[in-house]
Amino acid sequence: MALLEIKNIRKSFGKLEVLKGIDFSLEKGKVLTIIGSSGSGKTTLLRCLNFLETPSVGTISVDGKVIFDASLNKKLSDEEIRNNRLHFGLVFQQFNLFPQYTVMENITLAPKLRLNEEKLDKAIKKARIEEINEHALELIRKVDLADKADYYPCQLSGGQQQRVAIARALALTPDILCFDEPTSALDPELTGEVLRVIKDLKSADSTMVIVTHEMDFARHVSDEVIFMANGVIEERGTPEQIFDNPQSPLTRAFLNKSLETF
Amino acid sequence: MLQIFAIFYLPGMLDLFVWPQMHTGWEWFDSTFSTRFIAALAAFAINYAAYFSEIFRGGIQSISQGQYEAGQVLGMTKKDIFFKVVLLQVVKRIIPPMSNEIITLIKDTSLANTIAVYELIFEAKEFMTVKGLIWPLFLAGAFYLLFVGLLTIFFNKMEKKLSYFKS
Repeated sequence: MALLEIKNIRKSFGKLEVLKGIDFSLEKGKVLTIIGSSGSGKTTLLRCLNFLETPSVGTISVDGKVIFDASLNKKLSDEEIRNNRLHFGLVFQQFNLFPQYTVMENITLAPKLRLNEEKLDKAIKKARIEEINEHALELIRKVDLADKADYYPCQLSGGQQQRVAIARALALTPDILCFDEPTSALDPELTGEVLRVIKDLKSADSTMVIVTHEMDFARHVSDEVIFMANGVIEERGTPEQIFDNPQSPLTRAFLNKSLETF
Repeated sequence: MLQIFAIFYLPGMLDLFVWPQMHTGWEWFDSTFSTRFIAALAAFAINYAAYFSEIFRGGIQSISQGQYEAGQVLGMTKKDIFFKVVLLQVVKRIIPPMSNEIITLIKDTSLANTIAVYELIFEAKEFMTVKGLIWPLFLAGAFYLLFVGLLTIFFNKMEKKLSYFKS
């Protein structure tokens, strides 16, 4: 059964319809890459998944359970939205780390706040905090920043900041991790380290949705590629199908432009 | 200064012209220290509340939407996002304009002298005329300098303390 299932998602901003009916499903442990030119709705789709935008039409189900259905027309409470969000993690293009906290604090802040909400015994709480810290350290090691745990974001390079952001998103163990152009704000020599971390996650069986402009990366890391144009899925398939044998003329034109060299 | 005038004189004038038979206006007009002081206080409070709220508003709005979204995506409550994520960044940003405004406020207190509130300059002037000495006025100036200097040092310290991060 598909872990994530999206049916007929539409989203309009005023008169402008950005998403015009998106359907896809994603198996557990698979990596989906979304490519497409600017303004095709890729980012909006990710933001809908993370409930930063509310789709106008459509349903989102995780693990067979419908967590959002626009036709019910009921406004979700803050609490429900917060719980829904825990299924997803999002890594931003601009990192959006909390500047006043160290790497370690950035990663542990959200889990610790969550812990505070539960009424727990002091002893249990202490044990849980210990767990959170250990998990965070493990994540820091995973993104290869073991020596930087007590640094502040402003002391790190862009690539390192983005790796912290990935660790932070992983701290709440989301079912699906989303990346919104994780390398677009980075210098070319820094993109490699971030992409390597994402690749490692893939081998660790994480389910991921990645919006990217790095075509080579998309080809190597993804199990499935979606090409979006003008708010619809123009073409989907395995990376080989999309990159080597695109069917739609729009896909072909886009790939030609993206792969153009000077 | 105009605001101080308005707050001090207007209630009295309204009393005079709107309800002349009651003559309560004269009491307002004549009474000394306490009403003058209240008028000056009210004028400063209203005026600086306006300035400071603008500074706070600007500070809060200057925090990028991304910080809020990062918090939301991590499942934080609105309250947590404001207090744990945004607030310290706001404080860091508003310290420079706020310290400016507080220093201006201290210097502006001398304006209360225009409605004869017993403040620093007023006192010094009285000394000057009564005793025929010029020094009290200089000493008043020195006191302003000292007070503002101490505040400047204090705010610099705060700024330094928050300089461990950039936002």
